[in-house]
Amino acid sequence: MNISRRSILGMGGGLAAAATLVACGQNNPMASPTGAASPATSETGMATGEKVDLTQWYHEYGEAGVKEAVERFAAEYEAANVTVKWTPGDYNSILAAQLLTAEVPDVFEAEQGGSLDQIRSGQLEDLTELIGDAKDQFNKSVMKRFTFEDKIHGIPQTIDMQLLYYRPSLLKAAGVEVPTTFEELVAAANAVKTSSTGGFFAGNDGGIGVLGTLFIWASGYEQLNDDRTEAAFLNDDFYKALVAYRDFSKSGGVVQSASAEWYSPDAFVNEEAAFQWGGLWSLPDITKAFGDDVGVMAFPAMGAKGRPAVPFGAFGACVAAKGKNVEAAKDFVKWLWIDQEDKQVEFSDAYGTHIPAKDALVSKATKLSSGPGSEAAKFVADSGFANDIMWSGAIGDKFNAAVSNVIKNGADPAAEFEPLKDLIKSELEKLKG
Amino acid sequence: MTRQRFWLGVRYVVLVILALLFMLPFWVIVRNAFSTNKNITSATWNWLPDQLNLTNLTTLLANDSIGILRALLNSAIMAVLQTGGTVFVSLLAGYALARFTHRASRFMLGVTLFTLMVPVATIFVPMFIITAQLGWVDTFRGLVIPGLFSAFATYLFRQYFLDFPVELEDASLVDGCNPWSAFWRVVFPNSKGIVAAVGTIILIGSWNAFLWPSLIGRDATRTVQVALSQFMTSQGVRYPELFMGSLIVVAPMLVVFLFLQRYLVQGLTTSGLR
Repeated sequence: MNISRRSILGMGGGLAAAATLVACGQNNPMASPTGAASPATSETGMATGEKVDLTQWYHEYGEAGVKEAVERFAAEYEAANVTVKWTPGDYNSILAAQLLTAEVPDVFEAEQGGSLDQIRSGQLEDLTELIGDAKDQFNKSVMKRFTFEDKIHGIPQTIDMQLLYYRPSLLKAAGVEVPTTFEELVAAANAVKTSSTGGFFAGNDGGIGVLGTLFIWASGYEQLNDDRTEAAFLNDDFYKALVAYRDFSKSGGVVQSASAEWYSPDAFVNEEAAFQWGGLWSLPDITKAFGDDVGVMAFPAMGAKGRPAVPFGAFGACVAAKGKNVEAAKDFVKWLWIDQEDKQVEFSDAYGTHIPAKDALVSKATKLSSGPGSEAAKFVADSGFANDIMWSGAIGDKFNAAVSNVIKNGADPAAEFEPLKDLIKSELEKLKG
Repeated sequence: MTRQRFWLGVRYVVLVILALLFMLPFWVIVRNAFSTNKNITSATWNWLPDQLNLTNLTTLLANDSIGILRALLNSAIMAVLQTGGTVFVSLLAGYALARFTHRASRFMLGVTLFTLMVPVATIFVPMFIITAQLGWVDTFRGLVIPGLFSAFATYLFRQYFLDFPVELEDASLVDGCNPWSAFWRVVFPNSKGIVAAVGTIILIGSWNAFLWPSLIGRDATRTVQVALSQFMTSQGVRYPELFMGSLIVVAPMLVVFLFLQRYLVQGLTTSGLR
């Protein structure tokens, strides 16, 4: 038989194509024969004995050790085989897409205990009975946000919040007190700033992105009225608050550009600003840099009707309504996020700095037992706010654009927000169906 | 003469300045890859790295939860399969659309062009649901097959084949070829330039893909772009490892560019992309 170069190349191409198909069929040519099972799952992925199999999804937490901890929690649960799925990337989009398929996770985290879409489309199991009277043990601001039409669809896992950091020593050196109103904050920021240290920093967009909705709460109003039929903040007090922040920016008291964003402690640690709006998660890095010379406060009241405000966020453990083992999933959620208090404290306190969702557990969290951490925990209960469940993306986008135009471009707030009245009304009508 | 030299010099100076400006982001990647977090987030700008050793690289490679090497392999498998498959499908489709001119062919061309006008974001969810129904989540099939048909590549090939001399194909048919063998023995060997150009564009796009792999690629098939996103969490960004990872990810495409830049430029010129 004559073997030509062409036939050898042809055979080589055929082999390559076959290898390609094998690679596709095998899904993962590098996979071990048993696959990558979490400690809580048997090697075959099948249930052992009478136990059912559950999958539990988490978004990716940045702190080292959280993944291992939740896998351990799952492994310790004896009534079911729980497989933990750690989901990096855009968790909300991935979860939303997965919930539309037949292969839904049995238990999963959802921001603020589930979105309106998830609830309305029946994707979330009603957990009102599951939490029962235990709901009184949880942070009341969080439970208020987690309750929609008298139903609860998520059990709060842990609480994150934003707050204002400052250095007491810098204030003392400048001869100013800790501010309690926005006017005092403006005066203090301008008093403490030097040629090398700015006054107030809340992001490289001048703070309008992260502080936008705070202006509503700090000026004494809510986003929507009680019936959720129209906006509840479009008035002179809110407009004056925006103008006050615009004047603050123009005065030079607001740092417009720093080495890092507001959610990182770096700008504050580098002493680029005397006040920085940030996350509670930055507290360990900030106290490491400045020791006891760290103070925290809520965003101060703006105007006569104003009040201090901090935004919070909490992931809630939800159960997929069309999961294969709904009752088993609910039992697991109850066991982990209602009964297992030691694990709840560990989840919040051992790897990062978060606030346990149950009030009684806050004192057991070492990082929150005293000092700035302890004060921060109180802010959520006393002054905590979160976006209303019907504050949709469309409303948020228009609102942010209007805030930006007022503060950055000097637009008249009343004229700028006038179109939002009808837009919010129609959007709410649409959402209510 | 002196005046001409002067303006030539000015042009060179302007071009060098522009080149340096465009190179600046790449320098920042290199600087940050060999810097501590303190240097990267320093209040004052530092031009030079402060950790000229392999610390960040060893930290990155030792991080099992990121699995950068495995992710690189996954990306390479996906990019090669996607490129090979897309070029094969689009090459044949483009040839057919160029050679067959009856009504059905024109209709198919219209449908093909129409898919270019539909925003990708709108078809992501239905595409994901179909992929999930087929059980292809976290598989290479799921990563590659839904993206195998590229209207863009098909249209490029079609435009190329419109100008390809039909006489060559006619001659091969006279010599005993059928249309299939004429395509592979005559047309394809004379179209390697456009194949390389389109292949290079598809390869780079596939290597850099993020959205679809972030939905489909889970534990077993996570690609390197998705793996790197793990350094950006709600609790902050781990800059040194992120930039070291970015440097590693950029390297294969730089090699591709160095070897195939002629075809890349040809592809961009043909397609009108900038």
